[in-house]
Amino acid sequence: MKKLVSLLLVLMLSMAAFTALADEPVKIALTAPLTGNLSQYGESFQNSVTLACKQWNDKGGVLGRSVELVIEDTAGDPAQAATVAQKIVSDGSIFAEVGDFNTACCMAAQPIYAGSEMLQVSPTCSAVNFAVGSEWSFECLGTQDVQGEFMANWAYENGARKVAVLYLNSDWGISVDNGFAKAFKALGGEIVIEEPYNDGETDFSAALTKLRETEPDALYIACYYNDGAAINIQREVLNWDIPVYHPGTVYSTDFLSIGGTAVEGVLTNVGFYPDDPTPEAASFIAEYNTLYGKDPDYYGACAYDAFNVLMEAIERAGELDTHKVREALAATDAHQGVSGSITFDENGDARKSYIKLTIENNQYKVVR
Amino acid sequence: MTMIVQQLVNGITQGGLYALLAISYSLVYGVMSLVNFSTGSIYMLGAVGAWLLCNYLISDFLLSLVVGFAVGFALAFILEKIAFKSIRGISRISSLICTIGFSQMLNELTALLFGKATKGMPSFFSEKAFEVVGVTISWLQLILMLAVVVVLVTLQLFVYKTKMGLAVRTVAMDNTTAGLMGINVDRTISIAFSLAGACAGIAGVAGCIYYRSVSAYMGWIPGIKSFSAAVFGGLSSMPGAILGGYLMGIIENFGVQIFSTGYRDVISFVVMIIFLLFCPAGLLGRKKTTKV
Amino acid sequence: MLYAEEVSVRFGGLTAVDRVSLHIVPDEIHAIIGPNGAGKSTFFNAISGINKPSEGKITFQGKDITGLKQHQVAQMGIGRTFQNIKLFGSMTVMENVLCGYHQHVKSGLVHDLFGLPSQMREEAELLERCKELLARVELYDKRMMKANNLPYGEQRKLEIVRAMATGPKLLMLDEPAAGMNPSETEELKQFIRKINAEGLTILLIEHDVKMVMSLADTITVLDHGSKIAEGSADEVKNDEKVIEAYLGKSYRR
Repeated sequence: MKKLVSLLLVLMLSMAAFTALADEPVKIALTAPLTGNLSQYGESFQNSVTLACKQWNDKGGVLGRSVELVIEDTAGDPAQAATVAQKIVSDGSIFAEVGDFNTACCMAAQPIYAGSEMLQVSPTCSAVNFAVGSEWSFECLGTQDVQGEFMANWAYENGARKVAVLYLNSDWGISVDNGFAKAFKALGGEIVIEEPYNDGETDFSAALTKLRETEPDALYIACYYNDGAAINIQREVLNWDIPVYHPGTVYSTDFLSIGGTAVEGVLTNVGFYPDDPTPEAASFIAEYNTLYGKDPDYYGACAYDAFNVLMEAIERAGELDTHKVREALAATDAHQGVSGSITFDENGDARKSYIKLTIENNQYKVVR
Repeated sequence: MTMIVQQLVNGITQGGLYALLAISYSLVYGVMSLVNFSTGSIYMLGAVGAWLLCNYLISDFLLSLVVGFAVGFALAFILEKIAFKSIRGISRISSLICTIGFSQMLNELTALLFGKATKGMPSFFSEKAFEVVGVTISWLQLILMLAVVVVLVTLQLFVYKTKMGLAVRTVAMDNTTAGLMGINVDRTISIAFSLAGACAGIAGVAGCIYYRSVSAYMGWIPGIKSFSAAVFGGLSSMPGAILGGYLMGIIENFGVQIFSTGYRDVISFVVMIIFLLFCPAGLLGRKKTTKV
Repeated sequence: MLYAEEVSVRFGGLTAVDRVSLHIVPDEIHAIIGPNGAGKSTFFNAISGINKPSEGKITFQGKDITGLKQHQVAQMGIGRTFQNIKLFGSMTVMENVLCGYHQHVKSGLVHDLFGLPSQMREEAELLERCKELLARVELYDKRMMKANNLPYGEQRKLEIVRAMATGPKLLMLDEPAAGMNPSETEELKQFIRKINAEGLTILLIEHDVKMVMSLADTITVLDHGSKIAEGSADEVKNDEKVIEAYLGKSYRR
């Protein structure tokens, strides 16, 4: 009898233990710069991921368990990012990490996550050497190569065969130039000149005159919006009418206000366009707006997608096993995110879809 | 061939801005033996003045230039009164550092009040370019070139043909003797300094109209480059400074054509250094003999 | 006309001028002599506002001019030349003289920039006066030459003319005959006599003792910053202290 009672007791206890285990939420860490210079992006991350998490819990969580966010501030500081990563991996109850915003923090934390075999899904780290550096690291923004290929295809489709490239002489500018030139040559086009310019340059008339002499069909100009506006203004002063392609970095209302008539007809791209959203993006924007009283930005959209691809990978893996989830995540194919379609390549870099934009009457307009 | 002429046109337009700034350096250096590194900031504030005018009152080309003149003149006048007058005569290095400090202060203050973001200027004479044997010259370039020449010629007339100009030249040569001739040295320095400021202010307006943008940090690079241009042409000579400014613009543009935009500054500085090795006083500069 | 009372000028620990008092009588030619380093030029500089006196008071025509700025002293009516000529070398002869007239023109910046008719008239008049003055010293034909390119003697003359153009009542000449040959010196002497006769009071520093003796009405002798004698040429010539400190030695030499 005593034996039976104790057996029952053990059974009951283990039952209780089992149900407790089943009810325990899946913990996901979010690291972002919530204070400091980059805090506006950190806030955007926090808002978007909190929204995504709430949506998952509203429809019953993942694998039948609720999802809980553990939010950590890295302040954009790589040293703090490393400390935070240590804290997350040694916690023991956290399954995976989403973050960080800037490349330096992502890179600093990468070896710590890799060492503990924890997934690191950065929404926005587009540095070419990030995702490739660890099998546990993924990023959802897409590298310059992908964007370059996208723009090269577009220019080629529009009939350009000889393109002149002007690029900012920085790591970023060089990678944008390389990405575009490689893809455009692969299509059979010709890059007639690749001209760098230094940061802080204000006069582009000489460079433009030099480019013009090579008689290109189109220009690809890798720059931020300030330089972009200045270059187009001086192109207008030189009375040079030619199709101009820019990477998405010129996407800014300041580009329109400074450039004025000179940026009319300029072609660029963007991953997320709140004024003319896809159906997926429309509901995200609407819910974000109700919760926070403003429109989400592109980086927030990327963070939302990063969280969602991770959740879907867990669902597909069917159990909370990091190796299985990693495989499922790597197999993500054409996830229709709010920041565009996401497919991971063998390095863990997202191959994103982009929205083609042009400027008409000093307004951005989607090219379909 | 057309390319050469085209780069020449670009170079002259850009050189005109350098020339205006170079002459500003030269004027101040003449009367005070001081290199005024806040020239670039006055350039920037002239542009900010024009932007405020065009955005809030009236968008007008000539009026913008007038505002540039007024802002530059007034600012330099105040700076001279409150800052440089009191440090005049103490070691040149301290005065020099002072001008750099003022420059930083003006830039940051503008960034604070005006914002750090670049702002756009309206376009005057837009889309009206004409072609001469394959060379595109826009009206904007032509009008700016003319405006710069008019300012430079007026300044030369002032310095070489008027009583006040005579006073400026005598103070530049020997301010003690000038004083003994009954010339009010303080007042003359103040006027020369203010006029130098006015030149920088006009240059700023011309610059922001040409590049159609204004920002709190727009003055730094033109300020440094035109200083080099002034040294190149001869800091102690006003015609030299003008020549230096134009040559700098032209050399830069051909440097880009022949080498690369990335090397543009390197090329102009290398040309300048080689030249100064052989002619240390600059193209038209005089060697300043120190008085016994 | 000009009273200096107990004027001292010190540079750090060095006393260059030590309590010198001086009275210049209108219409006289007053000379200051003394060995090198006696403080003559420093005393000149103290009057014309280049060095501020450390002590003492200087009055000119009843007005205190101690410590005024150069241009203010000039405007009071004191003109001067320098021991080492200080012309505006790269300007023309004419422009040098025009500088001297500078203070007589009242028009300001606005006039200058826009060239109003009244100013044009005024400037035309000035040019005439400059030309007259240059004609007097036979520099008229060379008026468009750069001042640097004039022969030495003519540079001296030009400096005097430029000082005269400021319209002084007292003209201070710092070694005007330095570096001149005897005939040039003689010519200069005649010229100084002439302008003195026209009513210009002259204060003169000179090393040429012969010239000073024949020209000056009153002579002040400085040595080591202090006044050691004062009086007419004859009085000074026979003063023991002067012979000891200055004349004797130079005559013996």
